[in-house]
Amino acid sequence: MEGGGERKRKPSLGPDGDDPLPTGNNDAEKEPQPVAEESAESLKPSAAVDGGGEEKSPLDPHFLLWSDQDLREAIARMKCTLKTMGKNLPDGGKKLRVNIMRHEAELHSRKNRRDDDRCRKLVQPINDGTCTGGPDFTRPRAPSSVPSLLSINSSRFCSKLDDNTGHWTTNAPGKDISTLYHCGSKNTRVVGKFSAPGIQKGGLSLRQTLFQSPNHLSVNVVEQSLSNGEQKRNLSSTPSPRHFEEDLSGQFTKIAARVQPSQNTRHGNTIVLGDEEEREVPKKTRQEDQVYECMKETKIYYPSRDDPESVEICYSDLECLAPDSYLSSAIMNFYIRYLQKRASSTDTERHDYHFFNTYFYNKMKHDVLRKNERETSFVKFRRWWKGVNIFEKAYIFLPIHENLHWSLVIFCIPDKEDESGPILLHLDSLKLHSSKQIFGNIRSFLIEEWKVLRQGESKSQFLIADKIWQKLSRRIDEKIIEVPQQKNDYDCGLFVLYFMERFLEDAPERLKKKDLAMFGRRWFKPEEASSLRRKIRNLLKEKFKNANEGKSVLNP
Amino acid sequence: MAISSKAKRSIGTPNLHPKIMLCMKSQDGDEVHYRVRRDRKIQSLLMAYCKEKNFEYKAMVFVYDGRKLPVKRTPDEIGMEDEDCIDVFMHQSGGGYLASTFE
Repeated sequence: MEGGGERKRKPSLGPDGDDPLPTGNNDAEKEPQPVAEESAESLKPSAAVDGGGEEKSPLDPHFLLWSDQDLREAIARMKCTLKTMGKNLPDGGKKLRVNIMRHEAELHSRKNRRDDDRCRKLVQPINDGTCTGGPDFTRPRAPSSVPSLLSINSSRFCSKLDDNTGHWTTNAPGKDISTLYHCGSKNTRVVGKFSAPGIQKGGLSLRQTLFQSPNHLSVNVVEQSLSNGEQKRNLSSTPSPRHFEEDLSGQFTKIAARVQPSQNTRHGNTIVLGDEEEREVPKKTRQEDQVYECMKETKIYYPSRDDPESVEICYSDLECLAPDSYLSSAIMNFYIRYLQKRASSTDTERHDYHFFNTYFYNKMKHDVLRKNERETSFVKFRRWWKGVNIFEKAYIFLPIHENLHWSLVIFCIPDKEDESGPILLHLDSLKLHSSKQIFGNIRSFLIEEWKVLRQGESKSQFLIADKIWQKLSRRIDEKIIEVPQQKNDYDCGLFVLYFMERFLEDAPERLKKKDLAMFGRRWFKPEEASSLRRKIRNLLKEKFKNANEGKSVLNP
Repeated sequence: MAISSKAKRSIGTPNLHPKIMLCMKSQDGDEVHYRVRRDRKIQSLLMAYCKEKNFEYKAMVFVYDGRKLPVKRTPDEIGMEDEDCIDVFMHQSGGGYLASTFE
């Protein structure tokens, strides 16, 4: 953005009148496709039950003609598109994402179908409809309430089961059984949905006949699948042929066209499954990548959501804590907030520290100090530290971000006895930032603030000697501090955070000039700062885990 | 598209909902003013703004009075006043990239 918009525009009445992108509309736009389609799909099975026989309308015709390779390529392509320009799309790439999910789901289910060999299938009826799910599986659901993540969820669910991880495996360690669980739960769900007493029976008998057929040749199979459709209607039971056909579609890809209806039913069921799984999946999985997929959009608020100064961290923000990655402002601000909370818990009475967030300096630099109408904008700017008297603090931490580099300024108000004016310390692990410029900016900011305060409030509350206060603008000292230097080109964010952390531990209540000796190139080992990466990562992972256990949040 | 049609529709009912004038301030010094409903999520404004400015919504941080804007809330809930400003920042990240050019 800094170089982005040269064009100057007069303040204009933007999108006039109503919300430029009204929320209702927005929400509808987010997932219009899936809702519409899936509700239609989920209705299809019931149509079949009613004897409507409308099951032949294909769900995703192109999928049937697609090879796995095609699918994979399409997914890759869409992901690429999403990455490059998804954010510019009117719906923020939501539709694209949904599409990717559906493709992935298809890929997953294909894989599953291939993996499930016939033996396992044979055992199905035993478990079918009887066990597994627990009460919630049989709960009927209105198709309209189907959320969008279903297909991916269910496929995730399936693969999870097959991988023998997570909650389910505690009961079902064997691969076979886990598949049963998966199928069984699907079936029960359907049972619950249709609540037709004849289903299980009909399903069973059907299946018994069907199980012979995979041994036959494909021609037979086609006939079988056709007759299934009829039987389906007669018995008003969908689930059983579905499994069979599912199997077939994996094994005999040539008759894919015939199997179409089965996919319909399958998808219909998937939806019912996914509907409830959405909330359950994140709880039950422990496998990291799956958790990651689920939680990618999850947000936590630190220290709490209600805290006015809480910071919001998205799970995807953790990416920047990967080795050799640059630290992002989200993580910086989180850890700053973390240090702030820790510091204020140790000195509850006197809050001697103040922490500005990472945006403060840029705002100050760009907005306040350059403006002609400095006075008015400064009044507004003061709301950034509303209720805080900067000159009453012992230390003020000010992270600096410029040119892809982080450094730190600490503004200290020394002990009154020291008879010294405020001191600005600049700590830079690469000596990359221009200290002079930064000092200049902060100095003019402080003077501005000082002017405001001098006009208004009584000076008695200040911890600065009167003599200095009167001439503060000339008494601000600057010190470029020698600090340990980073040995790479990616850890500077960590150094800034570690400077803060160590400073909070080491600094006296009020700084005296002699205390500046505590710094130096050997203040700490550079590795200590670098190891902060892992620490923050673990810290955040823990928080996300807790947040997910407390209430599994899914923010699709 | 959907946006413009919605905007048009609202012209017909101007005084039904209280509106608020908000100013979006990006770091290039550009300021754009919007009049939005007080009871609608602020997110919609932000997204429209990004679209207009050709910013990537997800790459932006919106700061109000020094705090990250809770995008799912409405101006009323946040306690915004007329002529208030929202600062638009890009997500910052840094590691010392320019180091190589200096050493």
